[in-house]
Formats: sequence, structure tokens, C-alpha cells
Amino acid sequence: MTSNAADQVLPVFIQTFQGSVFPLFIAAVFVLIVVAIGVYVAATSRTRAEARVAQLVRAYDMVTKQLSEAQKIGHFGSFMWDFRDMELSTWSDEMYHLFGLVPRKKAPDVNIFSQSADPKEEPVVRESWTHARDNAGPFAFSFRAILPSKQARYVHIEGKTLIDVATGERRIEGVAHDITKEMEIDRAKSEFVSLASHQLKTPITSIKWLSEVLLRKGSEPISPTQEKYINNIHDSSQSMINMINDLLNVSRIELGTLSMNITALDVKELVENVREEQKHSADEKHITLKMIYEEGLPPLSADRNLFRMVIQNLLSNAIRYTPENGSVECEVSRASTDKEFLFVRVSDTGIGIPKEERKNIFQKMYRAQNAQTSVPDGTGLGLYVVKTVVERAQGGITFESTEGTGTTFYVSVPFVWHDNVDKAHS
Amino acid sequence: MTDTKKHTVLVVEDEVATALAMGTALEQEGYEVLRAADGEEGLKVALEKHPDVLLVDLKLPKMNGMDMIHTLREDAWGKTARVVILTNISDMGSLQAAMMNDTFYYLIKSDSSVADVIRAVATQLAPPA
Repeated sequence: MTSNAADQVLPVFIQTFQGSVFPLFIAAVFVLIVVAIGVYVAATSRTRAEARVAQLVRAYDMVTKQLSEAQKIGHFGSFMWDFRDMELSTWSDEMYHLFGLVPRKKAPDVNIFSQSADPKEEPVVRESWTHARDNAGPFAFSFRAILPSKQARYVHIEGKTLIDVATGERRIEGVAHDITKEMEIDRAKSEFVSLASHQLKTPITSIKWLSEVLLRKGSEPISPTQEKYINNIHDSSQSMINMINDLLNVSRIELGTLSMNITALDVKELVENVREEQKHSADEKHITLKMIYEEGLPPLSADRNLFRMVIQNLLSNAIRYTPENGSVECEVSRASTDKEFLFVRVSDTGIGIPKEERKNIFQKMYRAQNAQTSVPDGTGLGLYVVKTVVERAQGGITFESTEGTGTTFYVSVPFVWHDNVDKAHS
Repeated sequence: MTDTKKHTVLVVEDEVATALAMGTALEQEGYEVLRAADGEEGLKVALEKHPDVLLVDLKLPKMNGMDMIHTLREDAWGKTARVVILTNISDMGSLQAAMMNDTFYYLIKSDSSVADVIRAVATQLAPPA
């Protein structure tokens, strides 16, 4: 039906406008309308896109501003060095502020950390940074920076290095944190511990000495029970002195005041002196204390107190963590591999160190689970102090252990110690 | 064997219990013990009685042990008096600096026993080898 109507209308239409310009006019108007709609649509889209871009720019500015503000409040800056194109490397404003520099578009030299480090710490910082730069993965280190204004600031750097396996191109990105306040608090804490420990030492020494006087042969007779009690007082005061000494040594390590006073020592005499001191604790548990000395050992040129501390900690630990009727053996000799080194081995038949905890035992205040169970009191500072002292003397410490069977510590220190500068806090 | 009864030891220590422990042990060993509780008194007793050995604590009221020893060294007798320093300072670097060129014998109190104190006194009295 519709088709028939069109068939009828079209011939009439053609006939009516044949020879006229009217259809052309209509077509032109139609084209104009289409173009106008097109232009309108395009213009509207562009305005919308522009508005969207402006909105995104505003949001980006806001995020950047917020991030910058957050960095300012949190005292941390962010950095990125792109080794493909150094022009792309950036430093946030706070990063510049942390290092006392005026913000620029281009990131500073890639060695800025070691360049701004305290000269005493520069070698360690340079080594840490080179290692971070050359190896893919996360890194972290801290150091004392000296700003252009000569002001000192402690900075902690944390980041990661990304290396393209195929091209070898690398990018380093991370954050720097101002830890000056934390360091100051830590220092104040260490100073307090040091002061408190010194104050505690005097009365506890008096208690120990008075108990020794009571136990001396020339003193008035005492009953076996009284003797037992006085012995307990003596041992408790001695263990408290050891604990205070550990605390003092840790505070000295942290304050960087663990200085060395190098003198010539008779190793055998010093170790025997420590053995004598520990004998009572070993006898109480019926522990056999065996000492093996190589004949003709040369004098050890070392700090008496520090070396004594190493031997004292190793022997007292061995006795403390060995059950009754066990044995502790201490061997002192020249190292077989290098005659310039003194070798000390302390073996026990004690509780051993659980496999999963071995990596932590030199950490400050760490005590293995079985150690906590068998000997509840203890600071977990002894091995930390031993390792620090041994490494300070350019020596080394290792151990092997079987849980439930025993542990052996191996220490080697040079026969001639040299005091060296404080290391960066890493 | 040394006849210790002939020897006098001056204990300069403000801590009552520590002085009591040292004094009692030394008396048990047969020494005559003199006591002073501060640096000024210690110096006065030392210059008056000329003890054979002085046991001097470093931390003392009125005049500290270091100043007491320095003043003692200015005296003709005090110049060669035998002194054992008692201290709880284990930083010998600073102690050495404070003592300048003076040779001295010291004991870190918390690391020592009463027997070490007696041994130190006996060592001071032993004739040079």
C-alpha cells in the first residue's frame, strides 16, 4: 500500500519541479544543516574535552600539592634517577629541602648522597650507594649529611633499583627520610642508660664486695646456710653487674664512644682470670670447664676490657645454656690459616640454637625461644656486643650449633688491634 | 713473705659500704687502714701520715680523686707515693688523658673483687723486680 502511494507521488513531484532550481536549494539547505550540526557537535565535544583536561590538570595539581605537603609534614622527599635519559630524573621539593639545596628542574648528580655525607661516613655511604646502584632490588641505608649551611642532618634512604634485563638500562627510585629527631631521641636514651648504669654500678659493687668479705677466711664464722645465702647474694650481684656492663656497652656502641685503649696482654692470664670468675657458676651445675692453650702465644695487643668482655660473654653464655653435668671447652691458639690472628673456640654441650633462629642471634636484645625457656632472665645483648667488638677489632665470629646437642663459637681477632673511626649507621 | 702489719693503706672512698668492704678485707690481711671520705680529707691524711699505699676513688666530694692525686704529686713525698685508682669508668682513654704523664695503677671496681684490691696493694708494696 505504501509502495503504491510513493509510486504515485514521485512522478507528480518530478513533473511539478522539472526545470526549477528549487530542489537544488533544498539540497543545499540540507547540506548546510548537516554541516552546522557537525560543527556544533565537534565544538561541544572539544569544549567538553577541554573542560575534562582542565579538571584533570586541577586534580593533578591538587594531588601534587597534597603529596608535596605530605612530604613536608612527614619530612621525606622522593627521588628518581633514570639512566636511559637523565633529563627525566626528578627530585621532589622536599628532597632538595632535606639536603639544603635550592629546587631545580634537573635532579642533582647521582652521587649527591656520598658527596653530602659527613666526611667520616663518606666511604661507607659511597659503598652503600654503589651497591644499591649496581644491583637490582630494594636498598636502605642511613647517614649523617652535612648541608651546605654546615648544619648536620641524619637521613635514611630507602628505595629500589630497576634494571632492564634485556637492555641493562636502569632506574633508581626511592625516598629520603629526615631521621634527625629519632637519632636525637635515641642518643638521649643511650645517654640516660649510660648515666643510670654508672649510678647503679656503685651500690651493686658494694653489695658484691661485702659478700666477698663475709665469705673470706678471716671473717667471723658463718653457718652453711648463711654461706649459701651469701653466695647467692654474690652471684646475683655479679650477674647484675654483667647486665649493667652489657647495657653500658650497648649505649657506648650507639653513642659511638666505644673507644679502645690498646695495651699488650697475656692472653692466657686474662682468659684464666675470666675462667676463675666463671668457675663458681660452672661448679654449681657440675659442668666440666676445660681450657686448652697453645704454648708460647705472643702477647695480644688489644683493649683489655673489650677482649675480656668477648671471652666473658662467650664463657658465661656457654655455662648458662648448658644443663647440669655438661661440659664447656675453651681453646685459645694461633689461627691455623693466618698466624697473625688469635683463634678462640668455645664449645658447649648446651641447648643449642634452633635452625630458624640462627640468623637473628647477633641482633640486639634477641633471645632464641629455647634460651628464654631454659634461662628466663637475660638481656640478649651479650652476643650483639661480642660481634660488635670483634668486628671493630677487624676480626670475625661464626658458630655452628645442633639444637639439643650444643653450640661452638669461633672467634678470630688480629694479634694487633687498631682503633678505627665510627661507622655510618647502616 | 711480706710483713704486712708494718704497712699502712689509706682508703679514700665516699661510698660507705665500699670503704667498709675494702677496709675490713685489708685489716684481715694485716694492714693498718686509714680512711677518708672526700678528696680534701684524703689529701690531708696522706700528707700527714704518709701511708704506704693510697686507694683513691675518682668520684669524690669536695675534691675529686684526680685533683687530689695532682695536688699530692706537687708534694716532695707525694711525688712518689704509691697510688691505686679505683673507678667505675671503664673508658681508660679519658682516664689516661686526665692523668697526663703520671704512671698509675687502676682497678675498675665493678670488674674487680676484694681479692683483686688486696692483690693490687701487695703489688704496689712488692720490691721492684
